[in-house]
Amino acid sequence: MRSRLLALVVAVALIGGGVALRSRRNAGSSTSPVDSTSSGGHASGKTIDLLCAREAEALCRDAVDSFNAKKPKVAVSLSLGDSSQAALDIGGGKARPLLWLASSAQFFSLANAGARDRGSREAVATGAGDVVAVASTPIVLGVWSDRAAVLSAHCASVGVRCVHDAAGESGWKAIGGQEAWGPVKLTFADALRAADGLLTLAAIADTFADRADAESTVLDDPRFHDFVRDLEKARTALPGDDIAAAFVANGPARADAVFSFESSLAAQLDNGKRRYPPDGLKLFYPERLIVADISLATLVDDTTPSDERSAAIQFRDQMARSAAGLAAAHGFRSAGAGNAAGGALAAHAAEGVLPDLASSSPVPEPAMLDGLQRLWKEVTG
Amino acid sequence: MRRRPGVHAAALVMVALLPACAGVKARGSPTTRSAIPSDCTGVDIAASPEKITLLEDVARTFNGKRVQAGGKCVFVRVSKKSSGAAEQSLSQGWEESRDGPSPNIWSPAGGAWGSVLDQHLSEKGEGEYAPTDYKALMLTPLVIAMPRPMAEALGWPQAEIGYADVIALARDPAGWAAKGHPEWRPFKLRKTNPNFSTSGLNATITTYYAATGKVRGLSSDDLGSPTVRDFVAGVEQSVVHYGDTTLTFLSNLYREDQRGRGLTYISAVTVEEKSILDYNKGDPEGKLRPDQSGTKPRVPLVAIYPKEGTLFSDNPLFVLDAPWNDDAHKTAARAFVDYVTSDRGAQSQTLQYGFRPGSPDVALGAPIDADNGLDPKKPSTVLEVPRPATLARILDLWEQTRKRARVLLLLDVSGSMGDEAVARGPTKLDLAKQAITEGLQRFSPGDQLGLWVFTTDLTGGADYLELVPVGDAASTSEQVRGRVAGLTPLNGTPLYTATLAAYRGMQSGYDPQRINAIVVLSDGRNEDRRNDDRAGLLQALATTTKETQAPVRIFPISYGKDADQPTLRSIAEATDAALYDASDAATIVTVFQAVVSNF
Repeated sequence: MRSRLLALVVAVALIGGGVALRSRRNAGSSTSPVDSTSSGGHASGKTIDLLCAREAEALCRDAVDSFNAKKPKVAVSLSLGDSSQAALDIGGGKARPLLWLASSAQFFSLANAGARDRGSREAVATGAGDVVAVASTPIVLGVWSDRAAVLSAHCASVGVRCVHDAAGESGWKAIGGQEAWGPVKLTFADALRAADGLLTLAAIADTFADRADAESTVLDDPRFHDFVRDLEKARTALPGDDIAAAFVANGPARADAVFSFESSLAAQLDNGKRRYPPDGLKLFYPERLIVADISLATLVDDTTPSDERSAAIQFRDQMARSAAGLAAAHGFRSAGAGNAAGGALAAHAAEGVLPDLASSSPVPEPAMLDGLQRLWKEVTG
Repeated sequence: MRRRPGVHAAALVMVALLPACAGVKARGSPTTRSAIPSDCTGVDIAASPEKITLLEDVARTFNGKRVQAGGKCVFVRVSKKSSGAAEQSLSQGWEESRDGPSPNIWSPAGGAWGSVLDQHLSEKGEGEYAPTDYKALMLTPLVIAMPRPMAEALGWPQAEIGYADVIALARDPAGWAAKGHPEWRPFKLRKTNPNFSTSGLNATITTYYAATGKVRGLSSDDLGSPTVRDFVAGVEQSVVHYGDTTLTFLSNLYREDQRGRGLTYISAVTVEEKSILDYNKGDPEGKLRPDQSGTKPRVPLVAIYPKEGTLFSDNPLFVLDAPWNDDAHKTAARAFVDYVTSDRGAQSQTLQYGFRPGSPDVALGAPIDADNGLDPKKPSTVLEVPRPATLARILDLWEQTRKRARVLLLLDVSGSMGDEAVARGPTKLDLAKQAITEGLQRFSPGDQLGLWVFTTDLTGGADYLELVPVGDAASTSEQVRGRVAGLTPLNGTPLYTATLAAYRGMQSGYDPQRINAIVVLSDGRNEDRRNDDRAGLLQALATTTKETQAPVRIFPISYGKDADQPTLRSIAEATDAALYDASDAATIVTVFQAVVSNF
């Protein structure tokens, strides 16, 4: 009996020990939409933050390095974030960078609308001269070359409707492709998480309405809901925050076609050829083009120290002067009329890059963007 | 091992002493860990086994760079945890004493495990841990590995071969004779347990796709139809036994290949593409670095990329939204994720290890090439990963459709089992009882289960005792639990006699509809003066296994540092099973779970 009691005591003690060993680091689980990726670093130690749209990372990095190389009193540090998420955070008062380079100036309006909704003053300065149009890039369709040849033969033009209709068929074989390719698989970013996903929905809306700048009434059309639902069923979600890079890394087995920013896909054209030689992928321009107006704004307010405010304005002015060069160097189009392709982009004409965009639509108003996100939420359940 | 001579056998029937010990937790960590430098934030990674060597290499390089995040350097430590076991631990409550350090980053083999985890957490009303916007470290497709001559018999490489072809052969009673190769005997399909193994999970998903004829949009509604369930049950019926990792099958195949018998051990096994590369360079367990190689197999494996499509393991790096992962650790974890997914050197390393890099900057090429039985241009299409609720339902249904088991637990109760498992902690027998008690939960009604114990000098001079005859687990598992609780350590270790007797006993009641197996848990060497014939035991087991139509697998657990691991390994090999190593006695609970994954 004594040994039994001893065993019980030991067992109980060990159970207690076991519980004590379950040490866990307790902390809040809040996440930031912004990943700190690099720091400008400066002798004075004072920095202001530039929140940059993910697709423009290389452009922002160049601008920051160039600014900081001049040894300003206040340096600029770079962080990255998706513009639609940033609009929510800035509008909601959760984030307050002094400089914000967004996928479109419409996201500034979205943030200001959010600030007004919670009774605060507007967060982003959007008056005359406050916003710098830095570059532009349309939403385009990338398709693996062998699949592109089949789509080109099957459709009058390769775009949203072509992909929608092909995905509705029983598989590639039904439209002249190989049986081994299986069903037609499409990918684009989640419209709730990424600006290119949201703007892809805008391009889909314009295509469905068959007019540029579709009005929000299309959101009430059940046929449009079905159209989006069809595309979502054909959609393969890929991991990561760069859908163009994930598309190439995962290859044609996982997705045949992708919608994303032209600049993001152009950056992957050479990778595509190396990864799946010899032809890689081809670019196509949807029947209704949505062009993102990559823009920079400042978020200075009365509490911002004057030296920081001054640094933000200096950076903005520098960006305005160097915008065309930066755009050309990093696969973007110019911000001006015609959205001409230059530099890195112009070298990819063979993969389908157009030198000029004949007609295009701007990014829709915040109400339309909000409606598209609601629809996407409903469709994806 | 003898410790307490002369204790009467009646002592075996002690009752009610140790229910409390069911809660005793093993102490110590399953992995050896480096100390975190005081000026760094430590990031613990729980990673699936097939990429451990790679991640250790990458982590070493990363730690040497002293990358800064949040004002401190980041120091990464990697622990091995199979995908399914990690999912279960995360969803049921991670215990550091059992599971190792609480992970800041979880890297199972496939992103689908994140969906399964979040589904299980949401069913419990808890928040999600695995973010959907994770980054993928690298890719490897699930393929059907076949010995080259067998693949050629199916028309490889010209013919497109699919799961449906393989499943049809596996269900054909004529076996390989239907393809003109009776000498290869039945078509042997090997498959791992989907609750533990990513390839097992993926193989189960693909079976459901094959059953429905779909390639996407598999829903919970599809799973319940009688036709589908019959099809899936038929596939499961063709399985020899399951397991926690495909590496066990590949190791056994390699051993049989070296003996010239590979073609009768295995016909097809679903594995990750990378495993074929490892096997073909003589490294079936994937332990070697890229610049090392072993003796190449006589018959290489080739990859069949299923024509219906397949699934990719994308090796996600989940920065967990778990309560223990605070902002500082998340920031540090993301610094590592950013590094390993974008650094060209790290990404090139993934290719050298046989994975397809997650970064598109690195081109595909050797060693993923035809010389190694692989094709970088394939697969041509994929199957859609089902939605989380469907995935969870597939795992639920697998419990119903899996091949049932008939298992005898053969437990060493020699005196040395009364030794402390860890200093001033519970005895080895105490921990073994806990392991068995927890492992019993994995048996379901329809399985059969029994319990023998062995030690010398039992009543009438017997060396073993049947405590619970093999019978339906619906009733015997409770009996086993009760009898195990009352066990106490006794005399010497008659390993050979007890093992052979158990084997013959199980053979006499062989059930072809079930996995017939013995789990031997032993902590010592044979010390039976009346039977010291090791060679005779192994010969008897090996001969019977090769010649019989009623194979019984023996899965030994080498328990504690004094166990006769070489002999136990030979017993496993003689019966085409696998040895499980619990030489660190504190790991027995985890190891026992892995053993039970075979059923």
